[in-house]
Amino acid sequence: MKTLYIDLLSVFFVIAFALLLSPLAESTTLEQLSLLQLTSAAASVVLAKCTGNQALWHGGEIWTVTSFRVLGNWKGNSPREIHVWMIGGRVGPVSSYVPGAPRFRTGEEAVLFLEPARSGDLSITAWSEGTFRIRRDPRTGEMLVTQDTAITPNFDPSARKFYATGIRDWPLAKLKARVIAAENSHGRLQ
Amino acid sequence: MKRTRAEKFVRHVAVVTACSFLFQFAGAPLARAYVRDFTVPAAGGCPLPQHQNIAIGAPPLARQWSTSLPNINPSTIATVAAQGTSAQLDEIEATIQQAYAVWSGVSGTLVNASSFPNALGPLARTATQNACSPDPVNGVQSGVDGVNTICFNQTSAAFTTGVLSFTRVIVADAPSQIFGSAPPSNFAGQIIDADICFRNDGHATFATPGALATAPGAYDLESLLTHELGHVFGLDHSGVWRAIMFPFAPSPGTFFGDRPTASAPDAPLADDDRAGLRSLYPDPADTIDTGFISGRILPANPFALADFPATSPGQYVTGMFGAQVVAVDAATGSVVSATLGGWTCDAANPPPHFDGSFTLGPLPVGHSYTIYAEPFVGLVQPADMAGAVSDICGTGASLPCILPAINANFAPRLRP
Repeated sequence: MKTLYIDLLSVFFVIAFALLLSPLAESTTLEQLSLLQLTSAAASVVLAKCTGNQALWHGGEIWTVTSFRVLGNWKGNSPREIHVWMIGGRVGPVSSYVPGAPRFRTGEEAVLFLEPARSGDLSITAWSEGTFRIRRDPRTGEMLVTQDTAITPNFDPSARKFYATGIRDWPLAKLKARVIAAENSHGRLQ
Repeated sequence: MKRTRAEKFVRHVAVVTACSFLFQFAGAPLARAYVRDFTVPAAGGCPLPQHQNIAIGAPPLARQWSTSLPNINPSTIATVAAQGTSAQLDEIEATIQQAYAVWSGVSGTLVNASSFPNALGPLARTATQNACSPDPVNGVQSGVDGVNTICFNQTSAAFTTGVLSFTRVIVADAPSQIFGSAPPSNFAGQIIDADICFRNDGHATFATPGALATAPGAYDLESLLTHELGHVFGLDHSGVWRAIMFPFAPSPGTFFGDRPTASAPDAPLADDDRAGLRSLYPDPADTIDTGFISGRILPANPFALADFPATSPGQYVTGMFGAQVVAVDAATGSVVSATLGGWTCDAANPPPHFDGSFTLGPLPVGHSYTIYAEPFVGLVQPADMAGAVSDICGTGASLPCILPAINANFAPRLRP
């Protein structure tokens, strides 16, 4: 019997786009922020490359301090080297795991929305929401970005379909243009 | 090697029924990873799921909450009772108890309040503001006290814009480890201490169930607590929409799923949540939730795996790594379990083998299930997926294992 196949990818992108337009969904750990909200909240937005990680105890918590070399400033004027603090990590035999806190590998490139945390140290706005990983399309070489919160395909039991939320596989140039437009828009509103 | 019929179906990422799969039972060595985090023992061996020391004969789970509330007007926690009164603390505590009761209402687990009424210790109170990150113990800055604590007024530098609450989980990678003032660990993968912090700077407000309808813009405290307590028990985020462990919850003013009732204390949970808890704390006397669905996800073109380097000496990638697999009850349409497929580990012969294996369960026996599979997007690397896969190989040299890249080289298809 002939079998009919339906490609789900188009469904993913349609729903993901629809969800991008919706500011309603919230998270138990994170408010879901639009790109405009992210850009507005961040003190700086950078394209950066991870150069190393160091985990340490500070204030009764384990923190992972990730060093980045800034490749481009999209908002603000960050120095060439920055150090980003995220809660959690591993020191000796102690592992501190915080779901939703992004981690980076040396050599990895990402677009980061950054703000000073309460301690004054640099941290990532809305954690995984303000983290956009970069990869190169193996066919075209184009640089693509995906928001950390868009990595996992989600399953809707009522529709019996997978879908993705957030920004997924956007061209880097497109994200940059949207961030700059958001920043300009915010500036005009002020 | 001749493939089974089930493997061929999964290879095509099609909808298949459970009868096509091999049913396995508790104790099978296959990976059941998706909703749990893993720790590789310091001494080596297979990755072990992280969980609390909840077992028959184990001491009750130590838990407390800090009655210190932010001094902000209006309050960050809306209650029916007047702010600043003992009645308000009672109402908040009742919400915490209710959130715990959601998880202890799951049948077939060692957490179940009916079967094991002493699994959870009494919910104590502390007036200490920063009880979720106590001062150094014996001169050692540890922040670990072995008491699972909920804080609404914790001074934490971790909060940035958009972060409402988080759970910090401390895990041991060997028995007899001593952290801070916590009792020594009993096993590798034991959660020593898990604390929940809520935002306390006035940028987010929360409401008890009774106050939710009259607190504009407030998040449902019970839903957030129930989700965070899932992390306390060792569950990670689920990819199943409407599961309490799904990272996105309803908007302010609404709550997740159904409110718990006396007859259905675990009503807010989805079956995926229940399956996750049962996998971590199975009741050995449970005769209902004992079924597992196992299979492998293989590429249509076996040469697609040829470029993957060996993950350990003599061990090559022989299946898809990093796919979400979902089981749906064929009769009810309910999602009953989800997992992250792709690996297996034989306790007698570690390290893990990345052969595309998955196992779903524990599931109620006697039902038919439909299986769905979906790859993670191609850019994802194991480190991106937090504890779900990042700790499968461990960080030490005791286990010669290198995580393969997430393999998304298959197209999702739905066969009607």
